[in-house]
Parts: sequence; structure tokens; C-alpha cells
Amino acid sequence: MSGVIFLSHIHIPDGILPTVIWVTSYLITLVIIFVLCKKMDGEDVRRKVPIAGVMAAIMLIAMSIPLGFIPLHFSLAVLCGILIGPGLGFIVVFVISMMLAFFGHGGITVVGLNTLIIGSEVLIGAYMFRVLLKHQRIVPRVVLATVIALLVSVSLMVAVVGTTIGVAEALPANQSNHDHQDEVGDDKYYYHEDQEVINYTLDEAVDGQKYINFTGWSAVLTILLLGIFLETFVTTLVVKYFVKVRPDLLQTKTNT
Amino acid sequence: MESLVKVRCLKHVYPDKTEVSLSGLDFLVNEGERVVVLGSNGAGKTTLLSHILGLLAPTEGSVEVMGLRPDNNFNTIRKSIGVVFQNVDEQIIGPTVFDDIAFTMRNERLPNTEVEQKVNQIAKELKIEHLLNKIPHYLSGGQKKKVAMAGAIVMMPKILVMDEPFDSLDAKSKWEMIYLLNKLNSEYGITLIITTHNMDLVPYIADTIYLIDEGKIKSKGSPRKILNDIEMIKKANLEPPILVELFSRLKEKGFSVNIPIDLEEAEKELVIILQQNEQQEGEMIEQ
Amino acid sequence: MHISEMDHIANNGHSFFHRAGVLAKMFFTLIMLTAIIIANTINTLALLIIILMGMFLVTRVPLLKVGHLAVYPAFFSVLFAIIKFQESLTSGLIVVLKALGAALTMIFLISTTSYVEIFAVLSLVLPRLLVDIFFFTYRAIFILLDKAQNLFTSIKLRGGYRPFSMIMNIKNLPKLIGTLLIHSFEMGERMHKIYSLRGYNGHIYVQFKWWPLNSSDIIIFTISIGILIGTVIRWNPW
Repeated sequence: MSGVIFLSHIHIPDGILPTVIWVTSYLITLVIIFVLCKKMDGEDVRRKVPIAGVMAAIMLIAMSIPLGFIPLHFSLAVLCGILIGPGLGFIVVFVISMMLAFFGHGGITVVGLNTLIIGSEVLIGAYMFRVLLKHQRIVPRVVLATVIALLVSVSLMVAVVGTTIGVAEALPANQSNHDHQDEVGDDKYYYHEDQEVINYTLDEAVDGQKYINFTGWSAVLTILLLGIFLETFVTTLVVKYFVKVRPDLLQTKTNT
Repeated sequence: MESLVKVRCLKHVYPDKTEVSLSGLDFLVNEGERVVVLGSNGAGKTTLLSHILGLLAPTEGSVEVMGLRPDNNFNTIRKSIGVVFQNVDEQIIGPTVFDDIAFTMRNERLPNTEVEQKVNQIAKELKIEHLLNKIPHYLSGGQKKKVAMAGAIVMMPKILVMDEPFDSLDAKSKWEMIYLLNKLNSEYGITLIITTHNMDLVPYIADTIYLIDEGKIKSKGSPRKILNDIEMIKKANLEPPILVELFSRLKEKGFSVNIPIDLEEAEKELVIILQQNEQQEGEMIEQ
Repeated sequence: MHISEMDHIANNGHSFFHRAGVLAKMFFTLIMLTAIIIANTINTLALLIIILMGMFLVTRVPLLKVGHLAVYPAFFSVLFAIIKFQESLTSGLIVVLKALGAALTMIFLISTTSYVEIFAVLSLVLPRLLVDIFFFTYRAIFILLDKAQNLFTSIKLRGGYRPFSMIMNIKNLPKLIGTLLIHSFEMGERMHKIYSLRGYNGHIYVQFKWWPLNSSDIIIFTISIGILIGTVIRWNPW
């Protein structure tokens, strides 16, 4: 799992996810976006569109900043939610996911799903920072908001990937195996065998992961925790910087 | 004559508590006038322009454009004002040059035929027809400036406001810009309000100059009156035009010269000096 | 940053594909993606990828310059392919080829089609506000990329970034991001004022010509329909 851009950005290629999942994700995402767009009136639009554009541009640029030998890049999704609000932030995430898909970073069919997962990061981060923790001091506010948002989105990402690998058995590519099943005439037996194959090979696949001196699940966990730590650290420092230089931007009416 | 723009005793406090005041003389612009605002960085030029454009509301004082308060009548005022900012990258919005020039007209829902006709006309005027299908961010600085200008004047506004229009232009482009601005003023009656540091070009583009220093409108007058006052210009942290500086020094050295403010006048003065010199030499030889 | 390079390649190409209208190109992309997603055999996928490679060659898009972008999704597909390899080599290869094919299709689209045109087509189906954000993002990337690169160079020259110095990098990069963000927000605020002055009311109009079709469009539609027929109908040449 090395080289994960956006901790929770799913890099499932096209053709893996069952159609029903990616089509449903796209539909849900587009419905949310249509509703959000409808909510913004004329003056709002004039003010928010350029800000959303620069935020999306910054997030794309920040993604390309290398961290040396660490196989991670900044996401800034929670920061996006804090600065421009959850609604506009959600839209920005869709824009970024789409533009990344043009470059093959995540399949074009996965854009809807990516938007929902990273969008959850934006929504939770923004909500926690502005509502739940608004009476706390700045550093604990940002840290808690970022960590919780990231944990949720990473969990969602892991759940989707895990389900996908399980569901992958239902893909047409595996139908040739099920032809065999017709000959054998024993669905349950064959299905059960498939499941064992899946579970066995997932563990095997994870066992194959290596990061520095860690292997297997430790390697995966290390990378995830490192990612969460870095993202939280950077988001906190950036928000502190804003507090020092332009505190008004943390409370602008730009925010939805 | 009723002034098109009137600014009096302006004061503005920014969100970060920075206070900018423009006290001193009133800032008045008559219809058809070419006004240049001179001032060093931080003098208050951008604040002044922002208030005229209705982007800021004054904390104290009054701002009137065509008899209206710009911040309260933004949508009315903006239809009569064209703007070219210093950093044109932030101003160009259209995906192509054509789209950018057509931007305002499309927002006003003008018919497509009229839009196309006006865009082509203005592109021809500014000699940028060959750029109409290009994507703006691949253009040079000077080309972008022309595109921004085209977008600002395509609807023939009453007032054209330009912030440092000669920035990032090469020598040829600067003179093209001056020619164009003067044409817009003389042929179409567009009132010009320009801020610039480029003192050498000011005589070619100004009917009236306002000099701002430390938040005060220190002086107002014709180019000759303002540019000849070297002391005041230097006090405002500006460099006088090179011709004014040169001929002032010549005058101090005892030469009987008038201080020119542009190249033509300087040429005439030099010819006079040289002729006088020749005459004196001739008299000495006769003696 | 690849966006500016891709944009340059897309806007400066002269092949039949570059000259074609955006609808034809999007149709080709859609058909190709669909074919790749529904394909179930290595032969079909390999053929589709060969067709794509052929298109890269014919349109003179420098595959060496842009092809590396496809390595990334291919690499990620290996994770899923590993699981499939347990069943059969074929299943695993199909996963990788699908990822590679889909990525190459998208890369081919953006290296032959200007973003402006793509957004123009998206404006037919997506909310205007969303498409405007796409346009602003596109503009802002080019403006901010220069700023970011200059800031980054400045940090490097002043010893603030070293590839193996994780702690220093992590300490300094937030400052770069913070500075860039503040400049960007201020730029965004200025843009809002400027666009208001220009009458922006939430819709950036963009023209694109889709009719009449030219010869390039017809060629592309023909190729697309050929691919569609070839993948939908099961062929047995023997």
C-alpha cells in the first residue's frame, strides 16, 4: 500500500468495482452536488467560486509536494473543510477527484466513491472544528477534528476496499470458475471454496507488504498512522499560521 | 462642470485594523479628463481606486461616481466602468481570448451576433485578432494586458480605470498603449483614471495629475506644474522624470532653459541651447 | 506538475484527433472505457491497448512523456491482481490490463483535448456552478503553480528542504502551504471583486463547435463504432 496519495483516496482501477456500486456512488454524489449548487444564490456564487477554485488548485499542487522517502502526500481535505466550509469543500473534493481521474489517479468510475469518502473527511472535519469543538482552543480543535475525520474516512476506505475484494468474486471474470460449478453441481461447496481463497489471499497479500522494518499488517498500520499523524501535524500548523496572519479567513462568510 | 468622480476626506479601516486615509485635497475627475494618480507604494492609490470601483465602503468621508455612492450602487456603477488591474492574470477569466472579451456582454445577455461583432471590432482596434482562439495563460505579459484591456473597453464604458497599465510592457508596447489610451479618450470620450510609477510617460497621458503622499493628496495640477516641482516629487519617494531632472541641473549650472516635460520640448530646448552656443562661438571668433 | 505539460501537448498538436471536435473525442473515450470495463479476455484487452498505442503513435503524442502516468494505476491494480493471481494468471492479468487500458484512455483524452473543451462538454450535464469551479481551478493551477515553484525553490535554496531530512521538510512545508494558501485566498478575494465588476453572475460561457462534423470527427466516430461492434459482438475468427 505504499505511495498512497490522499490517505483515503481509493486507487481502485476501473473495471474492479461492480457497476451497481460505482453507479450508485456517482448518483449519490451528483445529487448532493446538485442540491449544494442550488443552495448558493447569486452573490454567494460570485464570492465562493473563485475561492473554491483556488482551494482545489492548492490541494492539487500540495499533492505534488514530495516528502522525501515517505510514500505519502498531503491531502488537505480537512483543512479545506475548515477554511471554506463543508458544502463547498465537498464540491471541491469532487473537482479534484475528477481531475485526478483524468491522470489515472483512481479510475474515472471511482470518482463518485472517492468524493463520498474524502467528502466525509471534509464534512466531519468542518463540523467538528466549527460546531462541536468551537469553544476549545485552536490546537486541540484542529487535532481532534483532523484525527477523527481521517479515522472515519480511512475506515470507510478500508471497508470499501475489503468489500470490493470480496465482491470481486462476483465479477464476470470469475464466471468461468462458476461454469465449473455447474458441472460440479454444488454451489455452496464452490462458493465456500472461493471465500477461503479470498480470505487466504488477502492475508497473503497483506503479508507481502513491507515498510521499513515492518511487514504485514504492521506495515499497513504504520503507514496509515504515519499518514494520519502527518496530515494532522500539517493541518494544525497551517491553521495556526492562519490564526497568526489572517484570522478573519477562518470566520469568513465564504464558508457554507 | 459637474465632476464624474468625487472623493472627499476618505478614510478606510481594513479587517486587519490597518487604517488608510486620503485627506488633503478633494479628488475630482471631470468627464473626458485624463487623470493620473502618482504615489509611492502604500501611499493609498489602490485604496482610492477600490473605493471608486465600489469594492470598499468608506469608514469616513464620501465617494461619488456619477452622482451615486459606488458601494451602494455597485451593479449600476460597474456597467459604466472598465477596469484593468495591475496583475491581469487575476482578471482574465475566459477559457479563450474571445470568451474573455465577450465575458461581460454575455453576462448582460447581449445577442450572440452583437457579441461577436463587438469582440471582433475591439480585437481589430487592439491588433489582437490573431489571438482570439488562444488560451490566455499561454500569452505573453503584454498580450495579456491587451486582452484585459479589450475586455474592459468592449462595452465602451464612461470611465476606464487602470492600475499600473505600463507594468510588464516592453518599450514598443508602452507607446502602443499610450496611443490607444489617448485614442479612446479623444475619439470615444472615455474618461481615464490611471495610477502609475512611470514618470517619464505621465506627460503623454495626463491632463491632470494628483500626487498622493502618506495618505494625503498633496498636490493637484497640470503635468507641467506637478512634474516641475522636483522637491515635492522626491519628498513623495518618487523619481522625477529624467528630462526634468536633467534640465533642472542645467538650469542650476546657469543655462537659461525652460524645463521640458516631454521629448519634443526637450528637443526644442536643446536646439535653442546649441544655437545659442554656436552664436556665442561665432561672436568670439569674429572678435 | 503534469497538468501544464498535458495542456501544452493537447493545445499544440496537429493530428486528426487534435483537430476533431470534442464530442467525437469524448464519444471515443466513452466507447473505449466501456469496452475495457466490459472486456473479459486478455486478447480483447490487449487488442484495445494496441489500438490505443496506435492512436498515440498516429497522433504523435509523446508516449514516453505521458505514458509514465499509466504506470501509477497499473501499480495499484497489482494489489487487486495479486488476489486474482491465486485463481489464475489470466484473472490477474485482466485486472492489470483493465487498469492500464482505462488509464491510457484518459491520458490519451487529456493529451489531445484541451481542458477548456472537456469542461465545455461537462457544462451540458453538470450544474453551472460546478463547471465554473472547474474553470477557476484550471486557471488557478497555472497561476499558483509558478508561485508554488518559486516558493519551493526559495525554501530549497535556503536549506529548508532536503530529500532525506523528514523532520525539516515537515516543519517547513506547512509554511509553504500556509503562505501559498493565504496568497491564494487573497487572490480569490481579488478575483471575486474583479469578476463582480465584469458582471459575473455564476456562469462562465464557453463556446464549442460541434456541428458540422469534419472529416476527423467522422474518422473517430467510425473507429469508435468499430470498437463497439468488435467488443459487443463475440467474434470467432476460426
